[in-house]
Amino acid sequence: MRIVVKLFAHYREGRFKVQEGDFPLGTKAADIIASLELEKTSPLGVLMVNGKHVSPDYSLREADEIALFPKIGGG
Amino acid sequence: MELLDFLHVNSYEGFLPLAITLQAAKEYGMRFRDVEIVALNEGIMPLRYKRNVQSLCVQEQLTLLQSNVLIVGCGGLGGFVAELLTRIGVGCIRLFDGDVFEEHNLNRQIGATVQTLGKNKAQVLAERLMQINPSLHVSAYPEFFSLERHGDLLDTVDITVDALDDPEFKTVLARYTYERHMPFVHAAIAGMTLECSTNRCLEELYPSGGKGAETLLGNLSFTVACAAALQSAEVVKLLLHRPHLDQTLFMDLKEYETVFF
Repeated sequence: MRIVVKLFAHYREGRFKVQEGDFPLGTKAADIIASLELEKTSPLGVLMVNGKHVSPDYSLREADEIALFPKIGGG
Repeated sequence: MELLDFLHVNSYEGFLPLAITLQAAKEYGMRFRDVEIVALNEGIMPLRYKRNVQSLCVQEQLTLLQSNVLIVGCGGLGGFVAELLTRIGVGCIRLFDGDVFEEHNLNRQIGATVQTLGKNKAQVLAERLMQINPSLHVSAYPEFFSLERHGDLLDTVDITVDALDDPEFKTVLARYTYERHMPFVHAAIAGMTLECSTNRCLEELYPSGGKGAETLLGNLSFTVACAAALQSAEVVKLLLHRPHLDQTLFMDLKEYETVFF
């Protein structure tokens, strides 16, 4: 199934801004986060699919758009 | 002469200079702040707010003077928020921070100077703020805010400002205020990225414990000033019952990209 992955802030460095990819049925949001090794860069913050907050165990569907933001906690 | 006559006769182009307020306070046996309250009620703006007038009316300036804001954390965000709220005319500010200024704070924290290294952040800021607004009531608590010890204080303030650097406590404080319908303004930064929200819980921003990207990217001066400016704007909008953020604003200053979620 086709999924659009959007990355924000420094998650883009060495990766991409927006990329459409083909993923097997049953792929969860967590699988995409893991495949991109985002949390090796820094912890995940907001996770949205089609503009709605979801949990990492959300099962993606054809044409879903997943947006991934790093956790920001400094002051 | 009655106080009102004194204020009218001595106001300068419709504005009240500091020296006249001070003189009135002495002659009429009043506090400086109370003289300004009388003046504002009479439609006379303190001269230091002359550049506020096209954006804030006299009644709004009085509302700000009679407002009470709690700032939790006096580092990067807290320092700038305290400065901006004091300058615009918020009249009562409570500051919490158990930390002292260290050399690595000099890159961004407005209270950090070579002279203030080793001094408590809340106390240093309080001294600075009193130099800006003689009407300000500022309370410095040289300790870390705790819901157990200081939770009652939240009932006495109009707004709580999250200027903490600990996602876990940010989340707890946001949840606590949200459940009690207490106004709460959040911000956080890392590198060139910032976020700001009003009256929202933070679990979606902080799904896991521990620090965020700031440990990798650090905290830059203009990012923290920008986030603090947004927070200050939200505080003023809340105090004046103007429309405010109803989503989280996420901003990447590297690409000037803004996302709401």
